[in-house]
Amino acid sequence: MNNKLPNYALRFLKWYCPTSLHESIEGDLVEQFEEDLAQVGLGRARLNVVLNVIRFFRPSIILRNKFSNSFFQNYMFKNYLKIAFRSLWRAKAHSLINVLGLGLGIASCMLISLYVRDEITFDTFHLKAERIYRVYAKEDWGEKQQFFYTFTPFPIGPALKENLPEVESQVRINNVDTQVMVGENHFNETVVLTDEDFFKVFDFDLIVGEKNQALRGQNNVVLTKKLAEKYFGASDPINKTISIQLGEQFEEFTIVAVAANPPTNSSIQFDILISSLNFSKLYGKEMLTSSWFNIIPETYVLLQEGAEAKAVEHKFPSLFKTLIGEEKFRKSNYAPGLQPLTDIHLNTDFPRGLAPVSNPRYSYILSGIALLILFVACINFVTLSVGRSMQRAKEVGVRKVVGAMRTQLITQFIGEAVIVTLLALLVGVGLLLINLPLFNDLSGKQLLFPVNQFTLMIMGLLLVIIGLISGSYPALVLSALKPITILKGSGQTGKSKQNVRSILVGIQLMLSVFLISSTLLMREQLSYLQNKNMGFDKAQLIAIQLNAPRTGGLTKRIGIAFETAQQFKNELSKLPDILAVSAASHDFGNGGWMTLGFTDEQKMYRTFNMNVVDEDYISMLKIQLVKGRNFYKGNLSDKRRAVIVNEAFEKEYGWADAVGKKIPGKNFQDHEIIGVVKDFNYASLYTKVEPLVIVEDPAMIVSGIENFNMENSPIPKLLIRLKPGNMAVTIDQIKQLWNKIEGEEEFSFVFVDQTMAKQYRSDQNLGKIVSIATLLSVIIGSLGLYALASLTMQQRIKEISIRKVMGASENSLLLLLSKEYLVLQVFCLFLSIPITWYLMSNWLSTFEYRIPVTANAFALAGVISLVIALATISFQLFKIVWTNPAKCLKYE
Amino acid sequence: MQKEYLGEFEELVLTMVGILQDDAYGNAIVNEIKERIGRDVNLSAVHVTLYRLEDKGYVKSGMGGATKARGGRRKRIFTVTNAGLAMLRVKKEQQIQLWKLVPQLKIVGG
Repeated sequence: MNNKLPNYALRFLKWYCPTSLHESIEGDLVEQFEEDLAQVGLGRARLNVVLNVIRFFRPSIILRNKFSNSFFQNYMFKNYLKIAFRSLWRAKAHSLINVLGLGLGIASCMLISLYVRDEITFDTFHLKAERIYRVYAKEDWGEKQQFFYTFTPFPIGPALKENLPEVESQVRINNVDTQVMVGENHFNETVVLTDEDFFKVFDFDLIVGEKNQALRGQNNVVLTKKLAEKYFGASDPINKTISIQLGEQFEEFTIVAVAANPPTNSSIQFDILISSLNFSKLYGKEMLTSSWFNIIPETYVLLQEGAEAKAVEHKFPSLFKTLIGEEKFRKSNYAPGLQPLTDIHLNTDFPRGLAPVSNPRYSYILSGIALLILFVACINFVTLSVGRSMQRAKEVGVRKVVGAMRTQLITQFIGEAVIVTLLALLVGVGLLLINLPLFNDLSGKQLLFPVNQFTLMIMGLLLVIIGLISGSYPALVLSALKPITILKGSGQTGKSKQNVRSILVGIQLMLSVFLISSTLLMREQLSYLQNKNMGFDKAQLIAIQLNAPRTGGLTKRIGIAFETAQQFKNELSKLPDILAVSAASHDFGNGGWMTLGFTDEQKMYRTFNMNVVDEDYISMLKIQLVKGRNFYKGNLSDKRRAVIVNEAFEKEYGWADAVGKKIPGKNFQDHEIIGVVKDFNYASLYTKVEPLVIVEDPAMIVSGIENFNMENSPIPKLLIRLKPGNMAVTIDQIKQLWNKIEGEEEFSFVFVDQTMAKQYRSDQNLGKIVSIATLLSVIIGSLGLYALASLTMQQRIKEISIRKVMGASENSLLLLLSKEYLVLQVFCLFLSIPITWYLMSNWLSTFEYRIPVTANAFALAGVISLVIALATISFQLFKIVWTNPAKCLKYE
Repeated sequence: MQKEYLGEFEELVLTMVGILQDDAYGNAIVNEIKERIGRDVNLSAVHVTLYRLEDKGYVKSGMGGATKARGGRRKRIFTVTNAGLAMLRVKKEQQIQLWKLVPQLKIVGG
C-alpha cells in the first residue's frame, strides 16, 4: 500500500521536518493520500502529496524546533540587546576602535566593489552587447614581421557584411583630429566618422533626433550634449550649422541630433559624429575599397541572433583568400578575427584600439588591499572580544547557571558582533560618501554610490560575513566557559587562547610590515621614474602642436609644418625669455614615435623609430653626442642625406662605429650616418630604448621602408625652452605670436615634464592608494594593539606588582613585558619578506628601468613597524611598570 | 502581557478544534472546514496555524492513537484550552455587539 506513495517526497519531508512534528504531519499526508486515491486517482493523489510536502517547507515548520519557545526567545532578545549596548558603552574606547576600524574596512571594501563592478560591467550597457564583436587584424609575414592590431582596413567591414549572412550590421569608427568652426570660433576636436548603423548596433541615447536618420545624410552631424552646450549654450542646436575641416576644405554640417554624453564605462567615446560617407574626403578610393593592409578604423560587427563567433571566424580564411588574392593571402597569413565587445576593456592580450585597455591587475590589487584592511579590522574585533572575555565571564556563568543553552550564548555574542558591524556599516557608508570624490580622482573613474540592489547586496553581505567571522570565535570561546570555575572565582587563562591571539596579532603585524615595505619600494620606484636622467633636458620645456594640411603625402605635410616652424623660430628668437627653440615630429610622453620596418640585406626584418627634427634639436635638448657630429646649420646636403642614430641602433647592427655607414636596406635613397647620440628615453620607462633614426627630411628613409606604424601624429611640434622666472608672461607673448602667424587656430601648449609624468599616472595612483591603505591598516592595527596591550597588562598587573615587591628592576620588567611583542615582530618581519619580494618584483617587472628590490626596504619597514608597535604599547608598559605595587596588592 | 490578536483563519481553526473535540487533528480539520463551509484549505496552513495557536496557549496537543489508514503513524490531537475557549467567547460577544450596531436593512432580491 505504501509503495504507491512518492517516497522521495516523504524522505525530503523527513529531512527538513523537526522530529517532533514529523510523525503527525506524515500521518496526515498519508491519510489524505488514501482518501485522494479513492476519489481522484493515483496520479493526482501522488501529486497532492508532493505539493503538500513542498508547502510544508516553510520557516514556521522547519525552524520550529530551533526556537522552541518563542515567548522566552523574544524576552531574551530584548535582554540581549540591552546587554549588548551596555557592554559596548562600558568599554567605549574598545567599541570606538572596533566601529571605526571596521567602518574603514567596510568603506574600502564598498569602494573597491564599486570600482571592480564598474570595471567588469564596462560596455555591457548595450542591449546587444553579447552579439557585438570588434574585428581585429592579424598578419604574419614570417621572421619578426608579425602584426596584430585592433584597428582594421577600411574594406573589411563592408566585405564581412556583404559576404557573410551571419553579420547583421557593421560599424566602422574612425577618429579624426581636426578643426571645427562655429561662427567665427575655431575649436580643436576629435570628430568620429562612422557608419549609418552606429545607433542601431550601440545603445547610445539621443536626446533629440531620430536614431535611424541621424547618420544617414552626408552632411548630418550629431553632437553630444556636452559639446552642444559648449558651442551654443542653452539655445537649441538643432538645424544649426557648424563647419568641420575635412582634408583641406571646411565643410558645412547640419546638426540633426543631440546625443546624451556617452557613459564613462563605455569603450566607445565620441563628441561629434558624422557619416562614413565623408571617408572619401579624407582617404583615397583605393584605401577605402581594396587596401587590405592599411589599418585605420576600428570595425565592429553585430552578429545575427544565434550566430556563433567561432563559426563566423571559420569562414574568414576562404573569404579573404578570394578577396585579397591567393598569393598575398598565403604570404601574409592574413588572419583577422572577432573579439567580443565586452572583452575589450580588460583583455590585455589585445593591443589597444581607440580606448585604452585597463589592466585587470589593478582590480585584483585593489580588492586585495580592501580585504587586507577589512581583515586587520576583523582581527582587532576578535582579539579585543577574546581579551575582554574575562570581564564577561561572570555574565556567562550566571546565564549558564540560570539555564542558557550554549547555542543561545553563541547567538547572543554573534548578535553583538552583528550590532557592532551594523554601527560600523553606518560609519563606513559615511566615510565612503566623503571619500568617493577623492577615490574617483585617483582611479580616474566617475563612480556613484546609488542605493540599488547591488549596493544593498554588498552591504548585506558585508554585514553577515563580518558579523560571522569576527563574532564566531569570541562566541565560541565565551560560550565554552565553565560556570563552576568562573563563579568559584579562579581565573581562567587558557594557553590556547593566548596562542590564537598571538597568531592574530602576528598576522596583523605581518600585514603592516608587508604594506610598509611595499609602500617604500613603490615610492622609491616612482621617484626614480620622476628623477631618472632621461638623457635629455626636460626642464622648462613646452611643446606646441603646429598645424599642417591634412592631405598630401606625409613628407609634404611635415615639410609645410616645418616651414611654419621656421617662421616661429625667427620670431621667437627675438623674445628675451626664450632660451632655445626647435621643431620635431614627435614630442615626449604621447605614445610611441613612428615605427618603420624594412628588410635588410641579410633578409632580416628590422624595425626602428624615427623622428624628423630641425638642425637645433640635439643641441637644444642637450642630448649627448658620442660619435661623429651634429647636423650643420643651414647645410642643404645635411638636410637631404644626413642621418643621426642612437647607440641602440648601433648595437642592433653590431657596429663598432656607425659613423659613415648606411642603413643596410636596398631602397633607401642616398644617405649617410653622420653621428651617434647617447641613448635617451624618448618613450616611457616601461620600455627600453629602441633603435632610433633622427633626420631632417624623411624622404630618404620613407622610400626604403615596407611598414609604417604610428601611435601619434608626426605633424611637427614646436619645442620651446623658457627661462625660469616669469613664464606666464613669456607664454602670453608666444600666444600673441601664435595668433599673428596661425590666425584663428586654437592655441594650446603642454609642459613636457608634465606629459611625461602623466604616462605613469596609473602607477602613481596605485602608489597613492597603497600608501593610504598602509596608513589605514597601520592605524587600525595600532589601535587594536594598544587596546590589546591594555587588556593583557591589566591581567598581569598582580604578577608585575609581586615581581616589583620582590625587587625586579624597571628595566627587567619592561624587557619582560615587551619581549613577547619583540619576538613576534621579528618573526613576522621574516615571514612577510618572501610575500613582499614576490609581489613587488612582479610589479617592478612592468618597468624596463627599475630599482632593485633591496634588503634596505625590508629593514626600514621592520624598524618602522617595530617603532610603531613599541610606541603603541609603551604607554601601557610604563603605566603598569610604574604602578605602586601596594595599590594592587592591598586587597588580596 | 500584551493583548493577543486572533486572525480570521486562526479563529476558524480554533473553532474547528472546538467542534471536533477528541478527533481534532490536521487532516480532520481540513475535511471539516471543507464540509461545513465549503472552503478548500491547505494542510500545511492548518498545521502552521495549529502550532501558532499552541504557542499562544489557546490549544494544547498530545499524540493520539495509531490507525491503519495512516500506515501506523500516530495523530497529533489538539484540544482547546480554557484560554482558547475564553478567547472564542470574547470574539463571539464582540461580533454580536458589532452586529447589533449595523442598521438592519432589508436585503432586496435576496
